[in-house]
Amino acid sequence: MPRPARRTVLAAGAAGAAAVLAACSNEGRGGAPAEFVNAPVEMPRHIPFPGLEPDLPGDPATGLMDAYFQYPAQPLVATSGAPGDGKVVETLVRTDSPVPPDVSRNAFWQELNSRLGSELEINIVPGPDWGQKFATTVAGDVLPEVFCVDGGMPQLPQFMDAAALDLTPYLSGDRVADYPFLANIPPETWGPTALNGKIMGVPIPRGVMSTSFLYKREDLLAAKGITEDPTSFEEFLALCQELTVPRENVFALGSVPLDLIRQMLGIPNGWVEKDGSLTRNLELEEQVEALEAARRLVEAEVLNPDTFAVQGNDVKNWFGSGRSYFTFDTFSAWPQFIREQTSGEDFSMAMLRTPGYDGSPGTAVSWLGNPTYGISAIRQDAGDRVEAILNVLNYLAAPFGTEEYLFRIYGAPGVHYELSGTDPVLTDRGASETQLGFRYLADSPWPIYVPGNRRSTQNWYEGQKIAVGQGSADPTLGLYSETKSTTGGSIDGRINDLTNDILQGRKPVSAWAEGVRAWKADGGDRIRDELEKALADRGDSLA
Amino acid sequence: MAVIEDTAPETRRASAPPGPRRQAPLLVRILRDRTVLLFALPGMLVLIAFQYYPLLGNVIAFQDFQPYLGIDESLWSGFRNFSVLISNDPAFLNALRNTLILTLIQAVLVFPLPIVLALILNSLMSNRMRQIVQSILYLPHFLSWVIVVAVFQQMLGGSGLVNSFLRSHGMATLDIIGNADLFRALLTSQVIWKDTGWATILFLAVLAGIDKALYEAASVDGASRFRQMLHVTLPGMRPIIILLFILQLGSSLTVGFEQIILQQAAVGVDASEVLDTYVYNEGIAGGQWGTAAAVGLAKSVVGLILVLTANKIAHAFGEQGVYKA
Repeated sequence: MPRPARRTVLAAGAAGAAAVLAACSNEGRGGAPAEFVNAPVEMPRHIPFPGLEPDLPGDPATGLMDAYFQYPAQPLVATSGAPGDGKVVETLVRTDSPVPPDVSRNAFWQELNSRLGSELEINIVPGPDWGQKFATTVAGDVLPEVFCVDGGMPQLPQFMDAAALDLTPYLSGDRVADYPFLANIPPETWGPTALNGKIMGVPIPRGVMSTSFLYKREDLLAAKGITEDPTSFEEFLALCQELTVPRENVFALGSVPLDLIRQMLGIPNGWVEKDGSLTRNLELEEQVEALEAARRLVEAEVLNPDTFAVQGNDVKNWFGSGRSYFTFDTFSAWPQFIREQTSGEDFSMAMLRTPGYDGSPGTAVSWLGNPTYGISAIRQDAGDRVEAILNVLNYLAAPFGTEEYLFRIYGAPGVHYELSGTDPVLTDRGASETQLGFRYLADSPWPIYVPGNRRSTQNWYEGQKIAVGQGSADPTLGLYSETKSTTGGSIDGRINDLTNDILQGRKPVSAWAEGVRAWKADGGDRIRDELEKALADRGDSLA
Repeated sequence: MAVIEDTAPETRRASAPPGPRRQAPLLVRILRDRTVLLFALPGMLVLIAFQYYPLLGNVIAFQDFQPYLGIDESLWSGFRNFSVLISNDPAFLNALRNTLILTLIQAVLVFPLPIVLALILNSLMSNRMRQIVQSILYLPHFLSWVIVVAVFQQMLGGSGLVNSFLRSHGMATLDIIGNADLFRALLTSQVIWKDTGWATILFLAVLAGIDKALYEAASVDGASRFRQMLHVTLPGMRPIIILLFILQLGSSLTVGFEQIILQQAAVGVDASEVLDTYVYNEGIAGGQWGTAAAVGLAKSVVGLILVLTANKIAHAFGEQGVYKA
């Protein structure tokens, strides 16, 4: 008999699978019971690294970070000997910066490898592709020894249980003292690493740096004689119209600042908690107002015409080159804007103070970002190397003021940065070679510091002070919901699609209510119930 | 069932010599054709490794598949994943509708174009001219979709070449890229621009193979060039046209995954979601691996049924089709 055609085999495969199915049972298989997801574990002791006196002090109570005007002239050499074990350390990380030159053409990477005493193999994935790349890496069973996971990943506890190494014996309690820079990471950041009663990874701390706000081009606005921030949405809209000059290809905005408008309206972050019951902020009636206002911005044509067609870095580039005046981004993007701007010496940016929507002061809020950007985990079968890998991660978390930090952020003097006073100012080569993405693998708490630019440091600090002052935290942060973990991504995706349809005028704002109803029916209500229960459980364990 | 491998026509020819259909035993034929089979071997290995073997992964359509557990550990869920096919899920129905519309457009509008183009090229007098035109028409085929989409974006996008020119001269701009109403037209134009030239190759080869004596006989009988095309050229091309059409039916529900996913953000899912992007968005991005695999599997089964049916119909009309049973 001649060989069967390809598609015949497919049908046979399907039939075969059905036959296998009859013979298979689910006995002995299954995920983790929800109870032990939040089981208690002794967390690493916080041993702050004796650092420098900040020029502008932060505030642990609000989360405001320390600010520094200059790098110490004699940075502290805080480690001795290479942390690595001489063998390659494979990693998988994401980046929001342009991908750097490969190790063979990258002096910074080569120097890093020799300092680490282990070759750091970094598989760098651009941010927009991260979710898919990670999912397929897991499905293909080709995870490297060290990998970063997103705290919102579906079925995180079960995944970590199956794939990652339990780090409790190395990091719990006082044991973390062996890794002084990891011990320096603030306690609230460690929360999400505690899964199933074990410490499953090293957190990547960002503090309030992940909070988003509207950046403004201070220099360009000043050139137009505009120094005051708008005090209401109407004024903001009018300002955008004034600034937009289509003939010169200049538009006030490069993305629809819907979340900014929501914050102008005082819509809380994520969920609203009242006496133990939760409401998703999508259900609030202010959402309709926010969407209508966003529509007005779109209709006023103050957005770049390619707003909806481009992704990621283009929006940043428009801001950096002066083709847009405002951009909505996180505090942690501050150094990147400075590094990648193409407007020259006079480039200057600051936070636009979020006005109350109708002008009344005190309405606006700032949605505080998740203090933990992600979790770096070690693959389960890398147990024999775990100390060397933790040493490498420890090195990569060296804090501001140390010689190690100076190197890992700014590279080598004369090559990657030039000294301005005692400040390391990145050269073009430095800006491209140093962005290896390992700040998404391990990091110290961020300082507020723009080398050689006192004014920018000041702006950053002032902006953050305003943001944390009106900060709104998500009350469900760190709570686990099984449904959110399995279907949350899918139903949130649909709400997101609907939002885009409304913003681009393909659907009326009135379609929103139906979308939210569908969100609730398709899993939103179950998520709420589960989160409410988790919230009550957490209350019990604290009481 | 005696079917002949459609991907290895050279072995088919070798193993089915002209004459009575009675065939020698398998082993004898293998020995006789060993040289040809050896030539085919590397291709077969690639086919097995990258086409047949991954087919086994379709079992996840019957599982509550979790990538970190793998196929061995994931829970079996019977036919639950297939419920999306019949449960009136609006997202799935939308993807199905868009897919069918695009399939129709591609079958009716896009498929005949290379034939027309081949006829036009064939009627060009100068050989030199024909070769130049042909080369230019082939070129876009070698660009990846990322490049093609970027080129269209740079030309026709909101701040692309055309619109920037219009805007700087104070004229109204064209809303093409990102306009959901024009999305199908845009997709179709891109497909035509990219692949029509390439698809003419096969047809041109067939045209070159038509016996010149037939044309001479026709013109002696007083047939005009148009009549010649109608009664000599087209009948000569018919077997290959039908063959390609049937083959295309098999992948007819595959309407351009990469091309669409690259442009999806700009027009929204309502206008752009097709079965392939649905599988990707639900399965890989949304973590619903089992459901996505079920949809993909159902899609392949539909493709298979279409090919078998079309082939039967072709036989009924006395055509060769893709294979003979």
